[in-house]
Amino acid sequence: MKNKNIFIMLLLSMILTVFSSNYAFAYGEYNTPDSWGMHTTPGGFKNSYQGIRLGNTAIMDMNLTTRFRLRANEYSDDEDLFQYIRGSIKGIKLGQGNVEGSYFLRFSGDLNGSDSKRFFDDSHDLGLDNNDVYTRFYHGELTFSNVIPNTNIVAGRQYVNHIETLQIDGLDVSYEINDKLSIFGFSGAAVNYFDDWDDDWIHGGGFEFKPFHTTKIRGEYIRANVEDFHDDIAHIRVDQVVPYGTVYAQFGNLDNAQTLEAGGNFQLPKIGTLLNVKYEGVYDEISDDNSYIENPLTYALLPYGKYNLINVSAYQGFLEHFMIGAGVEYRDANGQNDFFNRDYTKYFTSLDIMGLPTDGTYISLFVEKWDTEDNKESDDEQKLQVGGSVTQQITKTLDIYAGTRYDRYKYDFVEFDYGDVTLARGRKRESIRTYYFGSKWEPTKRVSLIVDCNIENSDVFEDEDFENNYTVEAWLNIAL
Amino acid sequence: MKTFKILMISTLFIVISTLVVYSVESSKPESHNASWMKLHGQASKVNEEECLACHSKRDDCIRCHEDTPPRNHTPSWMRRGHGLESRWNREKCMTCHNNAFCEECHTTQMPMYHTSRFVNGGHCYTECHSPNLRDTKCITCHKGYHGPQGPN
Repeated sequence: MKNKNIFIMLLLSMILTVFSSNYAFAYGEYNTPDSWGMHTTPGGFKNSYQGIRLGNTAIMDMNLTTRFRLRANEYSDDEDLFQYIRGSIKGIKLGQGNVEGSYFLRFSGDLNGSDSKRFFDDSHDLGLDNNDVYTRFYHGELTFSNVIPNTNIVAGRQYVNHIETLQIDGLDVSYEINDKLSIFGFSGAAVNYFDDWDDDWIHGGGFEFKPFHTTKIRGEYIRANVEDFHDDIAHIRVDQVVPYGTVYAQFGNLDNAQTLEAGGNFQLPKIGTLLNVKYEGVYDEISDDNSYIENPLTYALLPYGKYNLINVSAYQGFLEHFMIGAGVEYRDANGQNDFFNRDYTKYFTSLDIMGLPTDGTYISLFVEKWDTEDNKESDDEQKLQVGGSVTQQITKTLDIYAGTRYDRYKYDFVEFDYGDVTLARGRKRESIRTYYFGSKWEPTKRVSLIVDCNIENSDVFEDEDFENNYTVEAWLNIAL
Repeated sequence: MKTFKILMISTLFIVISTLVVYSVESSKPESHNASWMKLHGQASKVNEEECLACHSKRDDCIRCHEDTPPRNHTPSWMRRGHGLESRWNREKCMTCHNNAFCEECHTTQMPMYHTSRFVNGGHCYTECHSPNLRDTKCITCHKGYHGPQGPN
């Protein structure tokens, strides 16, 4: 009886809280907390928006980030240290135009060196082989805007991103013919962190046409000369603003293979509805005779088969604090199903709760089911994912967050006892449970500290030493 | 006494629930909603300048897509998840990875179970002589085993 009364009182107070809190998914307030991205990828950079003034017009900023990562289980552990240096200088006048520069480098190394740490080898550790310090030079570029009238020139290591995103050491030049039409061309050495790129080159050019304020049409041609491959890549893309949203379509051609992607995103603020639609089509098989610039992982996964994919999702806000989402993705391998080209249906549903039980709370719960159909080379395979995440703003300078996820795979397996020449086949069901928590503290506009812990409990390993895996990360940001 | 206790608990709950006045403070635009994680890639292609206003020089893009692996890329993911999911929908992998990344491990690093006992004989009677080579894990790295160049 006593417990029942307490339960009723708590329920009443919760209902009171629901209807007395002031806002959430009403009035177009859909956005997630600033630290929401931590639920996907731990850590984060802090950007300097103030900088240091140099002379009358130039402003320089520099951002230093030190990141420590510890990974451990009963068998082994691995400690890595990363130092990031990012910065820019803006507002340098040259002629009628401006010059600005930016750079982003990462230096990293192992803090311990035991052989067993090879269990944790990833692309970072492989890059460290035979080196004490592994350096990644993400970009370092100078931009000349309007120094030559109507011309934008970017020189150095850069991400060219007109339609396709490419990383090159070279030049990207754009020329604005008039308000509606501009053309561009780029050329440079391909950048790749996992391969020798000394003789790899990429060249390209295209146009951007804006016939109306709400319409953008772009086209580009890329020639990739990489490791004896010679790929011709072309794209045409149209983006159109429509009432309540945007729609787009992008046609691609890789040598003789054609692809199409189209979609639309719509938002109806008055009734709190979001609607997203996407279509992808690959109409010709893409084999492994293309360069890594555009090669869709065909070396590891064999030819990229034909398929059509449709994804539809909708989100609906209600009672000011709640948003429910649901969606489905259907992939049809065009009758060419095999081990690496599969028909599947993926469903998901989610519930987001904002501003409950306190105004500084954001909660998200989700379920995703992935059903891969059987074909002549494989039985059906499945994944179920259930999870939840919470972000709580404690003060204006401190966020804490936590989350958990359960992943369950069902698939066919083939296993071998190499000594006794035993072949075993069957169906396996494995699950992985993940728990994480962390905090982000920003005492000033120039300093932030993020601490993050991730714990995984898994039954995909036969050895119990690997059953529990722990990762701890700390990110210290200083923005000058 | 019982009523007092109930009132105290309820009051405490209401105070905690309502007196924390900090809103979910965010400087993000409203487009950065619950579905944004799935939509931001295409949105960035519409007008990248809008993104760069806050995410200067793509530093945040680089962090998630090139530098720091997502939370689910754990040892279990390396062991099981990535193989299954990449063959279900490799498009998702291609958001961050290209062919050279796969080759980094699949052509240069031997799996842990390639012990000397395995390499010196056991494997010949098992995986490659399975009824269908594609059903085996060998083909992930050893595409050309039965090709004109022989084993690789």
